[in-house]
Amino acid sequence: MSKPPDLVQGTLDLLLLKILALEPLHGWAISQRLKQVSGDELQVSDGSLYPALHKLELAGWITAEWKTSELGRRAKFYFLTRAGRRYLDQETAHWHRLTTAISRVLALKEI
Amino acid sequence: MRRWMHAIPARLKAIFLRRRIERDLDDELAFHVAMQTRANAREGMAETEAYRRARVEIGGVEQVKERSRDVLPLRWARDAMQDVRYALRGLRKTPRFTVAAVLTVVLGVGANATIFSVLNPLLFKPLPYPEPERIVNVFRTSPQSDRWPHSMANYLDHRARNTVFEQLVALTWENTSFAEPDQPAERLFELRTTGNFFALFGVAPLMGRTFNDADDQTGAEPVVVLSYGFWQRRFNGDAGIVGRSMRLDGRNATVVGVMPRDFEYPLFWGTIDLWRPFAASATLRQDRGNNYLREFGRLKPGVTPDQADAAMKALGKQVLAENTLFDQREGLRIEALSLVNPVMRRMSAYAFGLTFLVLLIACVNLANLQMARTAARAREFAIRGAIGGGKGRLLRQSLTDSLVLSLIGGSIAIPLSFWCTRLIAGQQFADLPGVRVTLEPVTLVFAFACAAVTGLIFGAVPAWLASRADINDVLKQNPQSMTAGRGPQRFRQGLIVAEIAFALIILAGAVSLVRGLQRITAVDPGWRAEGVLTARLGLAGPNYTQLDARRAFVDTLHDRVGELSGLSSFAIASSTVPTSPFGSSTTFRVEGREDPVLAYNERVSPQYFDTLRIPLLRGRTFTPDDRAGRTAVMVINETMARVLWPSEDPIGKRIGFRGGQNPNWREVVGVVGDVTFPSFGASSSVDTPFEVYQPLAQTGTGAINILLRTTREPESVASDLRRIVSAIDRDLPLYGLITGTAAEQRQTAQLRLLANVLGGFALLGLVLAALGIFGVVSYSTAQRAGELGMRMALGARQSVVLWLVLRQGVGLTMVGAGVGMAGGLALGRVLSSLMPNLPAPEFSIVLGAFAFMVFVALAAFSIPAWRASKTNPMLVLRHE
Repeated sequence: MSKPPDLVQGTLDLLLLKILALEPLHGWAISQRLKQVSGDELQVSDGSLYPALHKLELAGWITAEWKTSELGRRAKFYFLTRAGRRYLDQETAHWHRLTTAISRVLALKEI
Repeated sequence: MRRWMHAIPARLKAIFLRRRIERDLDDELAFHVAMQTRANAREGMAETEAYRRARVEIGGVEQVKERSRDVLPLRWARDAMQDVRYALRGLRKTPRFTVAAVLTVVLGVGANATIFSVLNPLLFKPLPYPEPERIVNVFRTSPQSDRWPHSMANYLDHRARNTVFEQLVALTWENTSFAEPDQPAERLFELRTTGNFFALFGVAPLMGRTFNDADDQTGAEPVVVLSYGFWQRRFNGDAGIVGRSMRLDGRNATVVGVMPRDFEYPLFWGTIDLWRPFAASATLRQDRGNNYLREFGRLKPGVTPDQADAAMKALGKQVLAENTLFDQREGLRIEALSLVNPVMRRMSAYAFGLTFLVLLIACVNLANLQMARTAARAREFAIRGAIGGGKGRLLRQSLTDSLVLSLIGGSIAIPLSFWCTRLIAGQQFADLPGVRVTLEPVTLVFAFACAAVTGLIFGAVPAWLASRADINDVLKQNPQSMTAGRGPQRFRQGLIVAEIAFALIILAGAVSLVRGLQRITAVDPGWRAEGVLTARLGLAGPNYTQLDARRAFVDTLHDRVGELSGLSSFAIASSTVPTSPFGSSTTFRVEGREDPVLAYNERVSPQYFDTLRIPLLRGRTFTPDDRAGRTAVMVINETMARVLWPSEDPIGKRIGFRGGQNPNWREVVGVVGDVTFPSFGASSSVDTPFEVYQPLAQTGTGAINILLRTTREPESVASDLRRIVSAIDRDLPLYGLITGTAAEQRQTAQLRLLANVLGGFALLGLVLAALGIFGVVSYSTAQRAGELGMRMALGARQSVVLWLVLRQGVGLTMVGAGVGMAGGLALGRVLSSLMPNLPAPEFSIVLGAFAFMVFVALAAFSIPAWRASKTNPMLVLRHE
């Protein structure tokens, strides 16, 4: 029901933006994609997915459109906006800096 | 920022297209579930299992929706609106609770705001002068009274030699005749003061300048400063007034300035048309025998009133020691400046304390009602918690309930207090010019906040507990038979006890204060005001500088008034009806005694005592034969006779004047009853000073008061009097026409107001307590309807059920009333120890209050009990 404890705060947003950067998807497809790409390492419940998507939508990073899905049923498809792409780039760079720094610290040898 | 291109429409949509958002959310989740169901089915699950799993995997569709809604903007506003709607629905469903709670808020908030607003201008508004706390009164004291005025010579000594005052001012109220050529004369109210008056009160003039010590020099050019009201009324706010000359009492005086509107403060000073410096003559400056001046001082920075009191007492002793002709027992005393006298002030403060008790009762009421209601809703809260209502959200619902209640109550209370305040202001302050009684927003907010906070606390805590309760425990219980746990029930019973006790304390306190006030007003004034009419005029100006001229005027006036029809008696005197202390006092010497005697000094015509119905106790009163040239005589009051000659006959004794070679002995020819003035002095025993009466024909007077006893309409007598006076001298205006009863009532207006306020409080406390008891008991009895119906179905008689409910009530009432009685007696003792005029705590009062309270409380218990006993058992059982 709640966010998985191992997912760093804010990283779910980053993952969602990245997935949507590849192609527009509806909610269920995003959840499938998340499971696919991250394997069992990142447990994201579907319950957390939708509020997160709606938050990104309200922030203007993504936008949504109702379109007919592959099954002929109407589904809500999410797109990355241009501002969202810039935000993703920025956050990706930030993520890299952060993880590099942390890795470097963790690589220190104990004397 | 580009993002706003998308973000703003998305947010607007979320705010304004609420339905659409909800529908999208439904569709989106339904789609997800459908897809997941298909995926599950493909893995080989049965259709229904696949659907169920899909819904579980998403983590509960409703919960996801709720969390998604959390993300939306203005979430709180939408929730609040929903909460309000829900609260209103809930309140409609429990009308008895709602009415009791709203009434509590209305009475508690409304009454407190009103009462504070009425008392506020009298008690708490500082005088409109800079640093008013540094301004004090200086009074002269003697064994007979502690509020004597001063003589000019004493004042000058005090002013020159004190070390504690920045400024020390002397002043007196005068009536001035303002007569422009060829226009009818007009009576003006004047404050004649020393030159430093404006320096003390520290307010700049609106126009021109104020006067100063230079204008107060002997023989200085006469100047006046006008009040705003007079300037507007008489000169239509003429901007060129400064520099103009006015003919006052037949002499020209130059207008040098106009004071701003607020400076007048008629509640304290009375109506003031103008201020004028004494510019005292050398003779007046040395006059130690005539005491008619009020002294006001502004303390030096850092000097406390107590230090000033000690310093002035010492100075008073010195001055007396240098003037051995005067009573050495006299002293000086400092009193803080205040609109109302100290006893009134203290009493009002207690009355104000009682308002807090009333507010406390109101709060206890709300607490009680809220707790009863929350206990009854525990089941609802548990269910809502179970189906996804967040704890915070539930709590907020409780808070909203309380706030909605407070708001409904407040929206009734605010217009109601506006209306009441205006009503009281109109009734009580109509003849006090310049008192602005207005609703104080601060009070309203305060009382309102108290009610709201109580509602919040006592609504929220049980709600929070309820939402934490184990859902299964709660649901297993029968909703109707469910009674609150023992703890909360005890607490509620405690609140009822507290409520009864508070109401009883208020009742007892209010009754003993009212009795105290009655005692003050019930003091026999020594004269009869009914049927008396009085009017004044002043003999000033060039025509009346000679004593003979003044006497001639008085004789003519006396003759002409005597010709009027319908008078049973009439008199001319130097003071008006004695509703307040006589105008002047003098130090006398008594033949054969060393110590001087201070007494009120009143000059009256022969029928004075008959007119006011002051009884003659010994000897005789004045006759027309007591004229100039005959034996000088005087009449004294009973107390003076008793103190001076305890074992001798006062008739034939001689009393004279201090100072000078010749004491001008006067022979005492009669003793009359004491005239007493309502005394609020801290020392209650000195309210009957010595009173000396001299025949007007042997003394003369500048101030003339016509007193008459008549059965005619006051208006018609008044016009006759005006005609008579203007026939003698058309430049002399007659003024201050008032009946004795009206004058007396004006004097006691504050006391009556206070008594009414206190009575109102006691009533309010009772009503609130009864309301609270009624509300809670009827609510909890309704909760027990199932149990009671069951008992009756099993054969319990109606009377048994009635008693069952009532029994609890009797117990609580007795405990509450017992506590209240003890509290009431304790309060009474505190009050009477602080105020000498109050009666000692009377057991009968408290016992009466106790009986009354028990009656009210039992009535509040009986109604719901009776209703419960009338329930049809079948209905209840079916309901189960």
